[in-house]
Amino acid sequence: MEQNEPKQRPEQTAEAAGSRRNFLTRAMACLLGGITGIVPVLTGLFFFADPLRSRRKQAEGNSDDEFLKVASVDELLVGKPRRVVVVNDRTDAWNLYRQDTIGVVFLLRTADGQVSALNANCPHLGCQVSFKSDDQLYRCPCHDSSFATDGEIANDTSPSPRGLDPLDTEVRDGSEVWVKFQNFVAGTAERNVE
Amino acid sequence: MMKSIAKWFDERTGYRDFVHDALYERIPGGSRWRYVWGSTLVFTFSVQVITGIFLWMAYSPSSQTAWESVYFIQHEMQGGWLLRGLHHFTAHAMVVLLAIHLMQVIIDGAYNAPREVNFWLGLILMQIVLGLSLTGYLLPWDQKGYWATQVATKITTVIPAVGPSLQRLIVGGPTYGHHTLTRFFAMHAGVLPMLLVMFLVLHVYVFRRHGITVKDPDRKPEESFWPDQVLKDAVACLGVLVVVLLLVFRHAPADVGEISQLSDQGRLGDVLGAELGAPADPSETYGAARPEWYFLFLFQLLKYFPGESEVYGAIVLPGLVFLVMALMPFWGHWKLGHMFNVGYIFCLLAGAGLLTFLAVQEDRADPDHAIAVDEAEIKSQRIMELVRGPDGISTNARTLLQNDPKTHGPEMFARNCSACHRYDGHDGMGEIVTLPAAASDLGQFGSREWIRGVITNPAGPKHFGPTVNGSFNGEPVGTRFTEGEMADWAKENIPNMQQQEIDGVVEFLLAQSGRVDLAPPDPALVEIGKKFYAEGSENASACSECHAMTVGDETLGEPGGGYPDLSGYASEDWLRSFLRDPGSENHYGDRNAMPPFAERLSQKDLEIILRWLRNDWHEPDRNFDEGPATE
Repeated sequence: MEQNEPKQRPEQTAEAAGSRRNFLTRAMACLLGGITGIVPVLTGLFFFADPLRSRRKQAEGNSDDEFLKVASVDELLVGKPRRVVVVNDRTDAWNLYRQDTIGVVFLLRTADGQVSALNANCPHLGCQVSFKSDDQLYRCPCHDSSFATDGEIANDTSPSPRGLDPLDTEVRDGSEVWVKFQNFVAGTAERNVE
Repeated sequence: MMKSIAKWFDERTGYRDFVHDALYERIPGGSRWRYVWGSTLVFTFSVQVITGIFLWMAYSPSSQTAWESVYFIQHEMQGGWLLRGLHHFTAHAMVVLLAIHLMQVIIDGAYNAPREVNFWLGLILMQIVLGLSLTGYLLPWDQKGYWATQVATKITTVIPAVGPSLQRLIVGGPTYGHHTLTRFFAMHAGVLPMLLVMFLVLHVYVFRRHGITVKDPDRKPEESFWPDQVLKDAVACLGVLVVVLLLVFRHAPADVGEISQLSDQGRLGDVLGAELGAPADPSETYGAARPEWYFLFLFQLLKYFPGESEVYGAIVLPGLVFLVMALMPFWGHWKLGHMFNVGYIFCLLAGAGLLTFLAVQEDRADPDHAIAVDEAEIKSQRIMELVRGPDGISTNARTLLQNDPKTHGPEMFARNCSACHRYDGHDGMGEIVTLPAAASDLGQFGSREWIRGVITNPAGPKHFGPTVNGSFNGEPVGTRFTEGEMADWAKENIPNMQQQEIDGVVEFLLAQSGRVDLAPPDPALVEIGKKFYAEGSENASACSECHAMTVGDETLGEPGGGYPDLSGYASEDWLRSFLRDPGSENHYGDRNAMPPFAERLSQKDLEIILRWLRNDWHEPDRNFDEGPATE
């Protein structure tokens, strides 16, 4: 639609007056309106950013050095990875769950009596891998990553940027397997603790 | 560049005309302060939408999580107390602004032709806002909101015929639960705001169509909405915001150091913002149940409609009052009609004010209400201590409070024990019982003084003395205990014991109880006591002659002699076994005069009583060296 006549706008008369007062009124209206509107928005955004803050840890671990007892050596067969659930106190917002699952690891006992542990989360995008005994590989159900028993990438087409994440492991008192359980940032070649 | 983009966009949307129409509304007679009220309402609604959406991101509507998530917002999340405070007090401000806006419309006759429909739209908006208040009040699922909303929803049952079904539909089932919250939340955050936006758009559209109601167009030269009226509106909105913030900060400590200390501890939510009571608990009488202040007049009104007539007070009368208001435009253009309308709205406000005053006054004059409010306050403090205690919230906060000996021990004792026993002279809850006691006073049970009393003066008034008033299985207890073997032993042997031996036995027995609230036993005295207990002395006979006891692998005396076995005396296990069956062989046997509580009490209640008797509950900053932390 074409407009034939420009409308007679009331502000044109006001502008014609062009007074200093008019400018002040506009500036003040913007300023005060802005301040008033921004308070609830900023409060909300600050609240929204809460997860970025590191919260004081409520759950206390089983030991001081962050290692957790996950299995005993006797349960493990040499050369055969075993899936083990890691249990610890877990805080979920307001809930404190005693001795709840915090993750899954694969334990592998070597011939010399040592035990190594791999975090079961795929370093690609975090799906949980499982161990297929027929071809002795860890396979990720999501994007066709596979890993050898030592955790290294086993297929050329693997989308994973690195092998499965190894975890510090200790055998204590001759038979107890203790693991320092950690999750690592997915999708990067370097291993960064989450 | 900007200009050409703006032009491109305008050619395709026509936004310039839209913005122009929105900003350059004509105001004959110039901008005025009295026109700000509608804008403040739009502003407060916007604040509610913004803060509400952010709160939504942390709120969890179910009866297991609602209170807990609000607790987390208020006390744990950054700025949560401020966000929730803004939302809570802006809701209050909205109700006040609504009343002002309505009064102004009626006083100025702004409902007269052709503005009747807009007046009705306004009345609908008012109902929606009140609906938002009502539904929002329940969401924290604290005692206050829970019981007040119970009343509000129960009112619907008085509606003839459809009432009970309507109530079920609102509540989401026969009783309050998960679906009450999911329904109320969907109404509060979905349906009602959507309706409000729709009616608000219509309201503003019709308002713009007819223009502002101006009494005196020649007062000043004509101005436009922008910027003159906008500035006045902005100042008014800022004023509303300042009032809301003052309310959020109303309990702020005057000392700046104290505030920064609270801030460092992350405890600002304890004092600032909206309050959060103890979690809703249907099993508790909540005497402090009151609606929000702006509904108090309705609450008071119901008191004048007893029994079956309630439907008149709850539905018919408010309905008629509202109907008259809706019909106002039809006679408002006559001078007399307008005067009636103004008089009517003033009478309504005065009436509501008077009813509110009466409601507050009656509560003030009622000592029971004051007690109920205090109790509610104690419980909301206590739940905070428990939530922050070592166990945290494993399931929900209500169970935490229900299993708390400090909270429920006194009433359990009063209900189950105080017919015979006393607690520091009262029934556990502080009430003096007129009937004489028929058993020991357990106020200091298990303490050094108490043990010393049992040994040195077993027939005394705090121990077995009152048993002469008792009877068991229809037989009077008589002097079975007051002149029994223990009393005789004390009479004969205590004068012959050295002070150190008495102290030793006290420490030795105390050591069996494993109490955590008392100063730990003195090891040297425990040894002396143990020796006396087992062997006695030249002048006094040993405890173990009657009372066998197993300490570790050692057994002192002969078990099974028909006297109370004192292994683990006053410990949790001993007390549990004793309360369950005091007449068993290792307790009083056939001398027993106390009913067994194994069947009478649930496991949970029994645990509460025994933990309460042992002062065994979570206490922040409890100082173990200063004896029991009783109130």
